[in-house]
Amino acid sequence: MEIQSGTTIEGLILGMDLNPDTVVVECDGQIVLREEYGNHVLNTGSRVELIRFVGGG
Amino acid sequence: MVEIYSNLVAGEFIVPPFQELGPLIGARTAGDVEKALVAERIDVDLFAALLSPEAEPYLPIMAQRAGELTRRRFGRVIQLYAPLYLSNYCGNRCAYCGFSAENVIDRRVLSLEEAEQEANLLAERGFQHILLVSGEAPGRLAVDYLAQLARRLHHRFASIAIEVQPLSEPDYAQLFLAGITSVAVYQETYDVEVYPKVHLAGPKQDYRYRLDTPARVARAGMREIGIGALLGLSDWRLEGLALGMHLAWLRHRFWRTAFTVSFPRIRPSAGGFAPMTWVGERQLAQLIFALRIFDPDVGLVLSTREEARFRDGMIGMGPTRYSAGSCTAPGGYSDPEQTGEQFAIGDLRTLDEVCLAIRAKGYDPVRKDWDPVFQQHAGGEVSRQYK
Amino acid sequence: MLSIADRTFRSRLLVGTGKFSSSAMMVAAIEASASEIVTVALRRIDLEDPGDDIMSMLSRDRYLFLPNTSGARDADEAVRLARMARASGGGEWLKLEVTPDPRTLLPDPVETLKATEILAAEGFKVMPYMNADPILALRLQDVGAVAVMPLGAPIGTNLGMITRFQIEIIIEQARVPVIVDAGLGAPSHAAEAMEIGADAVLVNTAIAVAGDPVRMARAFAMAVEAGRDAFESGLGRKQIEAVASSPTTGLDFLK
Repeated sequence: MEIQSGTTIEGLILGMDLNPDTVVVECDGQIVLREEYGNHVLNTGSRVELIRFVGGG
Repeated sequence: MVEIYSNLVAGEFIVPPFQELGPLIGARTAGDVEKALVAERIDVDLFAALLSPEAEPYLPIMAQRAGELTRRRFGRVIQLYAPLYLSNYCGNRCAYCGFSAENVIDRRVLSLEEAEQEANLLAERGFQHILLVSGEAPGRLAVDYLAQLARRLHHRFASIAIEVQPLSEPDYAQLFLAGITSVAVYQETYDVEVYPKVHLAGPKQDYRYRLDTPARVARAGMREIGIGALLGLSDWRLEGLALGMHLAWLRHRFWRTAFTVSFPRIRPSAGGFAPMTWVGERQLAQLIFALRIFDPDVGLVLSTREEARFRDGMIGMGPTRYSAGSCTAPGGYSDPEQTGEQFAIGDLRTLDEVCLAIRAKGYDPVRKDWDPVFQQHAGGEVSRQYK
Repeated sequence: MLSIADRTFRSRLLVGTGKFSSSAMMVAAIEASASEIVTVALRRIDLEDPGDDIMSMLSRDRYLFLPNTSGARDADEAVRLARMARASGGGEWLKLEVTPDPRTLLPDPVETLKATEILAAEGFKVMPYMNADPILALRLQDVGAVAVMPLGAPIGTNLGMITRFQIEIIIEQARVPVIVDAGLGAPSHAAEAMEIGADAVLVNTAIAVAGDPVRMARAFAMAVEAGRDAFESGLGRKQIEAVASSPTTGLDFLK
């Protein structure tokens, strides 16, 4: 997925119309703290996983 | 989670005051008793019903049910053991006990050699399970003595149990490694009002420390714990109910440990203590039947405090373990003239005679129940953890 | 009231949120179930098609979200999923599932015990999904599980309480709530679990795939209440034998 360089995690989440409070972000294998979403800038080649709750038993 | 236990399993064991236990028994009806007699498992309320006066007309049916549950779980067997009294020195003043510090009796503590000689005699008579007993005098008989003795004896016996002063968890762990697998410690009375009236001096006055002892024993890894109440100090129904609650609490906490319960009735002893409440044979029988129905898996011990007639009659109705040929004075097996006994024996028969009586009832007297051969460290050194 | 760790709940029915035909149907069914605890799973967001956000459809004031670790095949994966669940605002509550066999989805007892110990030490309120093994239930409680969740039957089988006898032992020995999970295909199965003294049941598939999930959710809610009432009011237990009116046992020896 292409994103503009300099985008923060918060920007990515909001850009996808997701709620930052319910999404957990793993960047290059590390969980990013929610407080960091605003300052964490994504670099070229970053592996980002967005994870959240879905239906399950 | 069975709700009735929820207050029992959270936190440390609290004995309800006997004034609160009374109504629990008083509220039970004959209908509750009938329910308890057909249920697969019963809770504390139905246990209270079996202890109540309402259950008295049902005594023969209780005996039948108790016998059936015992046979299903244990088979047609009675395990035999002998007590070995090591010392009658005691720093406690307990109103009911012949060893009580103020009594003038012949006092002695066996040397390790003497104790071993006594044990050898018991082994020759065919005993495989022995119970080492002493008064509470750590200056005369401490943990090291017990550990050394256990190391000398453990290869000759299938199991060695102790009934001595309450010890610390590391002490129990040390004794387990030395080859002791079972600890008996009776609360005597769960009634906090009565307890200080009969424990007049000495470390035994600490009710709470004694009450917490089975938990320390279990944490130290012992295979089996014996608990009990001395009957004749407080209301036997309430005593039985508290005992059952203690057992249920211990079971929920320490599921790896096996438990036994004893029901010693106060016997004549030096000091001439008269029981504060009367507990007759019918009452003792009711308590034994009720506890068996409440806990089908617990071992029930009937010692030679009781007379031969009663012990023979109870075979097949709940008890699983009998002592036999007992002497309660230190050194009494080697020297029958030895005095300084803890209490007078009610069943004076030899082991062979007791075995005959058990066989006559269609039960098998078992002198050796199990073997700790797989227990790696039995007789070994103290582990690093407890050094 | 159902008490788990430090929380109490009126409803003894836990509901899963998976396998519903639509989010709207899921919300309606959960409402009809009167449940207060719902399980949820953690998944990657499909960046091309994010879909609905379950957290925005169910109010956290009304429901305790119980994240599960479904998909974990061993303790390490379960621990990682649990930490993610906590990071995504799932709190400390956790339904631990470790299911290495994709065919049966039966729980791995060894890895489940391992993961429970690690996560309980990290402060999670761990409710492990387990086979109906009484000793395993005790071991899980020993290492800090706040509830145990034995299966009535393998997941999705609708076989009901085929592990009933083992679950009875688990209940009798338990120090924490016992919640029967998996295999309950009909309200009568849930009632049976409650009648023998289970503290709660968890149902997902049987509600989600019913022709009318809303009515089925209500049916399960009623069955759970009926079973609990029966248990609490002292169900006439299985009678082994009638009380003999004239027993043969002699007590003539008593003085």
